[in-house]
Parts: sequence; structure tokens; C-alpha cells
Amino acid sequence: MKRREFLITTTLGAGATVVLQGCGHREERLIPLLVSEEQLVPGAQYWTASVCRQCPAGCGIVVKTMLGEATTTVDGQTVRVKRRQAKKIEGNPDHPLNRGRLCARGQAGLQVLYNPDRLQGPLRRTGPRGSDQYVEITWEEAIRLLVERLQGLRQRHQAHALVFLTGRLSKHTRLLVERFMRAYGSPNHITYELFDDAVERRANELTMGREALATYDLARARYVLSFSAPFLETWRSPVYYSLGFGSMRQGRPGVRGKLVHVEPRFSLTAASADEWLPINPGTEGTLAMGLAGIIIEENLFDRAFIERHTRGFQAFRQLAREEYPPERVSEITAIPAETIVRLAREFAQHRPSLALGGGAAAAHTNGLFNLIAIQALNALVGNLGRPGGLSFTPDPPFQEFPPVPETPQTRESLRQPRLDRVDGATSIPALIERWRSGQPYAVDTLFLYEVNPLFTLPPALGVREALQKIPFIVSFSSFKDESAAWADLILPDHTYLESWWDEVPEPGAGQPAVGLAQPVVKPLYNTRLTSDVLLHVARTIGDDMRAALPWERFEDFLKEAYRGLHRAVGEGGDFEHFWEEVLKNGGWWMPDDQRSSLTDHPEPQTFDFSPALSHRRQPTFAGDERAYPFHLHIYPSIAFFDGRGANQPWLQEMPDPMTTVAWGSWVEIHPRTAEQLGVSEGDWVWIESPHGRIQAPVVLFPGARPDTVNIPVGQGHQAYGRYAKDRGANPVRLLTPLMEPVSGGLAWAATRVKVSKAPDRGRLVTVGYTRVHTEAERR
Amino acid sequence: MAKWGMVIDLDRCTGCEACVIACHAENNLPIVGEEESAKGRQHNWIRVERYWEGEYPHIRARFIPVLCQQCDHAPCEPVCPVYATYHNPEGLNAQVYNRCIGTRFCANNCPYTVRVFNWFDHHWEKPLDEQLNPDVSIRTRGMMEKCTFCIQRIHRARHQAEDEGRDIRDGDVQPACVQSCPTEAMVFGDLDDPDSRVSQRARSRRAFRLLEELGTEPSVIYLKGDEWVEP
Repeated sequence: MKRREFLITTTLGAGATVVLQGCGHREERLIPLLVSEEQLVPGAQYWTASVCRQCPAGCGIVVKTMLGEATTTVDGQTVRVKRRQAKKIEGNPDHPLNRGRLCARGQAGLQVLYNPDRLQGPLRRTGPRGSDQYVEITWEEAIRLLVERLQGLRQRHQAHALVFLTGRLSKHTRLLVERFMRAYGSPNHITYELFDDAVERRANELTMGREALATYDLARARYVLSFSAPFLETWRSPVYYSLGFGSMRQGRPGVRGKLVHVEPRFSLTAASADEWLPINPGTEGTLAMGLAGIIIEENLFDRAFIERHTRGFQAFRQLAREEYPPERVSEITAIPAETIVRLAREFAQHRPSLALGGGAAAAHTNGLFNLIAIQALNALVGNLGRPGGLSFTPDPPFQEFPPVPETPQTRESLRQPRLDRVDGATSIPALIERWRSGQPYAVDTLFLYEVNPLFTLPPALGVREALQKIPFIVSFSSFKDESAAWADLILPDHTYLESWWDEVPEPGAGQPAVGLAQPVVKPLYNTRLTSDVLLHVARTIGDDMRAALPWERFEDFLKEAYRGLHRAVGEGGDFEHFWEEVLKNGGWWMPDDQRSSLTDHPEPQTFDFSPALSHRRQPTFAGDERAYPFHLHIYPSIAFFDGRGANQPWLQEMPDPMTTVAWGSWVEIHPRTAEQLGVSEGDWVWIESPHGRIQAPVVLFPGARPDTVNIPVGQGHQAYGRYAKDRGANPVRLLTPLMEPVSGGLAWAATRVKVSKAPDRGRLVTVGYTRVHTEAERR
Repeated sequence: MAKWGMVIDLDRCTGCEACVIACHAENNLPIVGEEESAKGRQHNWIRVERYWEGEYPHIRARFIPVLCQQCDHAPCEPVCPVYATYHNPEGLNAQVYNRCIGTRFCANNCPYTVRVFNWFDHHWEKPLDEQLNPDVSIRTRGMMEKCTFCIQRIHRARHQAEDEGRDIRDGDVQPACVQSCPTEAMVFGDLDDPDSRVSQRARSRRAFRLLEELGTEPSVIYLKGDEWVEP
């Protein structure tokens, strides 16, 4: 035994030796709940599996923890304590989605946990709304306030007047929220994400009968044609697609795949492509139809697949041939006709070839048509459910919980119309309008969870006025973001590294998988897991709610769900052992030997071409072309995504890869356009739409279309802590709330703007690296 | 004795900056803030450089992650008056912080501009400091610092191998940047072992080194971007 180990063993007593044995430098996977902090060896590294929550992708992570010293406040006294601290996040090497890899945002997750601007306990508003006057209250009081409010609503037969607005929640958290709302008696659990997926889901449902997000097998594709989907940065599952991209490029001896990227802006994804085509905004579907026309005309399509697995081909063929000849497509899209012909041939002749669309292609009034036309390309080359093609990842076989029955208390209110529905389709503008008008019924209480509508919804909808009409707003945010700063009650959630939750990645990696997150460290502050708060509130409100939600803690609910999974996957053996393995591995996924058979022969998809005809439309834009001469192309920042990363200093200081800007916003303008406007790099300009204006410094961007200005989303917070507040501008403020009418997706790429000089407002911080490399790297 | 080296495949690299943040988290790199960033004083041991080529619409961008090249003939080493920068037996260009007196000669002599000087003592807002890695010392004002190939990870891997009575295996050591890289563009390992992944990749026809003509003999080997040729 080494001297150090001897000393530790003696101080800790005999009980600790089990843990210490062989622990000198060994790194092991650990379930924190099974090993108390007193048993940790100073200097030893312990890894705990969890899941990343910096975007909705659901990558598996492992977190390095070590015993460390911290200062904390106990009874008003500052004391030094030893505690388990999280030191580093890495990708979970076993998780099938990201296989050990992680993006910049995932790496920065520790600055969510240890953020100096975290809310440390429940707060009740005392001053007027927006005045930022709050008092600390206890959890008992917080829950009492919540329960009184909800009980009162129910007694007045107004349970439907509770609205639960959330972001895209993780697997069982979402299930719990849905159960809570149904048991309480409100139909209004409503989900909003700025960069959402409603259009893609609808396109896949109409064409393939699957209201789901598709998994694209880039790794085994030979040719990839992507339409405005920044899949190497922020779109869907960037780490999974980056891994696939790396393999497509250099992972196969003798085969190097080609990536052609079509997008109005030269994005990071475009920069990695072999060819970039700056298409006219909103015309991605037209280009796809043009390509389809040539593939059909030249008989390059997969005839056997078309005959066996598709419907509506004849009408589609006629449409493509008659309406989309290359010359006309070229006029509409601004892609040269000969390029269109060449791409069509390359795409059809280098199979497996993949077409994938999203991002700005979906964010137009004709976004649904764009995606349908793009998916049709995959059907034409028969690339559905094949290696190197498009498939739908099966869900892990969780067993469903018994449904929550209607009760006399909930029957009436559950049948009230959902506030976000218009003729069966989701409409966020309608939701906000109804909040404002109080028709067909007024909202009494609004819960906000993992959503920040005052930052991510266009103010033109009248969000602030609508919120003003709602008497009681409760925020479950861990930070005082714009919307939490408007709330009457803030009940801060744990951050994700302190929490129980799980996620089934969608789109996944082709094999059934779920990642499970467990508390990696003890909660730093007097915060509570929102799921636990909901369970507490439910059982306090009444017996009927307790019957629907009988679990003491969310952890118990999760464990019951995994009991069902254990039964279904039929691995036999003891559940506790299975549960421990799940905790240690960070989730459950189909074992490798079973996976290969599944992903090599996924179920074939059938494809219906006819929606391309029925949903065909041209994009419309908000703002007169003469008054507002530029397209506004907003995009999720690789550092901040939709703004949620802006409070993390690592990400603020990270130079944007395309522009090298740090700590601020910018607007990308084509150098020639800038010359015409009389502005140069670093000059400040106004960007004005029919609905508002913001100012930002100019970056001369050789990858901007001359008629388009590009602005990243993420900065421009008016709250959200010291690193985010009062920094940069939020281009969402400019948006005209046009929608894709069928799916209800926000057409965030359809606004036009004008640009004019503005007074100087400070500097543009760029990291101008010295150009030391000249010839050597170009060879 | 290993000869540590790295291969970075520019045909895979997307410029996503995951390596940059991973390095910050692993190596206790400070955040300097907007003011100091504007003066070019960001602390990065690895940076992603971006180069434009061509004109719209035929514009291209190339990314190249640049870190200390761990040169065999390192220009930074002979100019240090106090032997703070030296060559370790495994080919690492090491920096001894408590010897450094801050002349900055080394940074001046580095053709890759990968050395970073501490103009100030740095401060972590509480509780951000709880994240700091105890395996890596905090540098104070007046010290030069640089990429170490995550030497603390090399030590950990060696100790673990010793505990288990074996040699270090290929893949045991992964610097933070390599570990994170989403496209697997970066590979690290022993260049003296012809079977290691890094040696295999280094034999590519696309291999080159930065400013090779200076004779610095870097241990970082780049693979240039490839072209698609119609099969």
C-alpha cells in the first residue's frame, strides 16, 4: 500500500478500503448515489454517465468528478466544505448517437452547473411585473401558493385555464407533464421551440406515414445533397451527423463521398461541402423538383423501388416534367441550368445518395412543399430504409403507463378547445392572440418550463401584452431569463447535471436507444427538480391527482418506466442489476450484435409522391421588395443555439468559426453590397423590418448573397445573467410572424429588411489570427 | 519511450470549435472578457483558423486547427534564458511554469504563434472555479503558457498502465481536443510505433506539416483537404 492510500484509509476507517482498493490512479465509472462523498479518494477521478441538455439532440455524456473544496454559506456563515465537483464533460463512448464525441456547447455544460447567475431558491414577485423585485420564499410556501391557485381554479371549474408552455421536453419528463395536465384537467400542454421540427414531421407523415424525424446514414452514403440544413452545426443531431460526415469523407478506403450544400448563406456546413450553391431563399423545393424532373427524364431513377414501394408516381412525373424544366428552375432558384443537370446525374448515379433538407428550407411559408420535394429525391433513388439512406430509428420498447382516466372533476375542462389549435393544426400566433383576447376563454395561470417566449417569439405577435393579461405566471427556469423576469413565482429547477431525466434521441442513430441522466453532483442550491415539484403539487391538490401520479419522486417514476423496459427487452435476471447497469452505462441501447442486423436491413419505407402536388406553393415574404430590399436570413448560432447558451462565458469568448467574432452580435453583408451602402467592416447599421429594428456591426462576408443579410440568433438578451445581458442584438425581434400553414411552423426565413447606417455603438471584437501559414497548408 | 504525435485530417475537420472548448475545460484556460479579447489576448492553446478562397459564388473556406506543433527542432527552446522551455524525452515541448520569468522570447521566436502570455492574474467568478482541473496548475501573471498535449493525461494513462502491469496501449492517451472531435479528424498516439493509428494516418499521401521548410520538425501532421473525383 502506498503511503498516501494508507493515510486516507486510516482517516476514513475500515469501511472505505473497499472503494480504495486498486484505486491509486484507476479511473472508473461510478454511480454517485452508491458511493458517498466521504468515500471519494482525493485526486482520484470518477466518471458518471449522463445526458447532454445543451440542445435537444440527446448525446450521451460522461462527467468527470473529483473531490474538491468549495466555499458555501451555511446559516449565513461562509465555510469551506469538501464536496464532489464536476470537472470535465466528455462524450459517452458507448452511446450509439455520439460515440464519445461532443460539440463545443456540450463541452461547455459545466458552466450551466457552476454558472454564477443561477437562481438559488424560490422567488415571489413583490413589485410590478418586469420591475425585478422579488423576495426569497421557502419551498413550502411556494408549493402552498401553487396548490391554492390550482385548487381555486378547479373549484371554479376552470382547470382548462391552466396553460403549461414548454420547450421540447425529454422523454419521461414530457410524459410526466402530460399526465399532470390530464389529471389536473387541462388540455393545454403546449410546446414551442424557435428552431422546431413541426414542418419535417408533417412532411414525413404525409409522404411516409411517419410523424417523426428521419435519421440520415451519412457514414455509408457516397453522395449527399443537403438543402439549407446546417447539420454540422446546429441542425437536429450535429455530433451524430459530424461523425457520419467524417466517415463519409475519409472513413472508407478508396471511397470519398461528396457533399453538395444548397443554402442561401455560406454556413459552416457549406464551408465543409465540396460545392456550395447560394440558392434564392425559399426555392429549395423548386430545385428538388427540377432535379427530379431530370432524373425521371433521363431514366436514372430506381424503377424497381418506385414500382414496389411508392404511390402517386405518374402524376409526380408529369408535374416534374411539365412544370420544372431546368431553364425555368434556374430562373426561380438562381442555380445555373447546367449545374442542375449535372447535379441530378451525379445524385442519381452515385448511390447510395442522400437528400436532406431542413433549417431555412423548412422555415418558409412553403416549407412543407420544400421538404416533401426533397424527400421525393430519396424515393427516386430508392434510398429509403437502406444503408446509406434515410430511415426512422425505432423507439426503445418502453411499456406504456395506464392512461389517466377522465374524472368528474376533469371531464368538462378536458373537452375545452386547446388554445393553440386552429382546424386541428397548431398555431402559435393564434395561441398568443387568444391569451390577449381572452377568447374562447381567459388563461388564469401559465407555467413556463424550458422555454423563453419573450426571447424566442417574435414580439410582433404581441407576446408581452398577452402575458400581461395572464394573472399568474410561474417560471421553472434555473436562470432569470427574459420570461422568468416577468413571472410572479420562480421555482428554479436543478440544472441537468443535478437532475434525474432521460432522453430517447430523435432522430436517433438507427438503433433503439435511451440515455439516462442521474445527478452527477449534489444540487448546489435550494433548487428542486421540476418533475418532483409537479408530483408534490399533484398529491397535495387531491386524491384523484394522487391516483394518477402516485410517485413520491420523479426517480421512482423513471424506475417504474425502466422496469417496463426491462420486462420488454427480456434480458431476464434481476431488475436491480439491470437498473444499476443502466445507471453505469448512461442508458440502454440495443446491443451491438443485434444492431447490425437491424440497421443493415431496416424496414423498407413506402413513399407517397402525391403530397408534392397537393402542397405545392411559392414562398411569400413579409415586407415590400422596394422598401425592404434584403432578405433576412437568421440562423441558430453554433455557440448559443437559440440563445440558451449565451450565459456561458466559454461560449461567449469562443470565436465564431466563420467570422471569428466573439462577445457580440454582427450582421453579415456581401462586400459589394456593403460598398453600395457605404459601410465597411465594423461599422454599425440599422436592420429594419416592417416590425422593428435592431443595430449591429457589419462583417464583410464573402459568403453572403448580395441581396441577403445574415444574422445569428443567440445574443441580445435583456436578462439571463452577467455574461448574456445587454450584449448584441436579437434578430427574432425583426420577424414577421408568417407561418407554414399546414404544420404551424414559424416561417422565420420569410422576412425582408432594409439596412442603413447607424451611429457607432462600440466595437466588433474579432480574433484576427496572424496569417503565418502561406504555401505549406495549401498544397 | 513513446514519441507523441498528432494527425489532423483537414478533409474531416469542419471548424466546429469543439476542440477549443474542450481544451479550455481541461486545461484551466481563463476567460479574458470582451476588452482583452479585442486586444487579441484570448487564451487559446488551440485555435481554428479560417481562410477564404475564391470569389462569390465560388467561394471556399478552409479551416485549420493550430496548436503547439511540439517541434523536434523547436525555435522557442534555445532562446529561453532560464530553461523554462525544454524538450522532454518523449518529444514534448514542455514549459516549466515556475522557472518562467516572462521574457516572452519564446513566443517571439515561435513561427506558429501558439504561445500565450499571462498579462494578468486571472479570476473565476464563483462558483465557476469549482470546475477547475486539479491536475493542471493555474498560471499566474508573467508566465508563458502553451499546449502540453495534455501531459496530465499522458501521466494518468502511464500510471494506470503501470498499476495494471502493462505498457500504454494505442488509444490510451487522448488529449482533450482529440477526445472531443466530432468528426474524428484528430488522432493522437506514438509516432515511433508503426502500427499506431497516428502512424498509419501519418503515412497518407495527403500528409504535410506547417511551415515544414523552416526545419522545425513538428510532431503535428496535417492531412490536406481531398477532392471528390467522379469514380
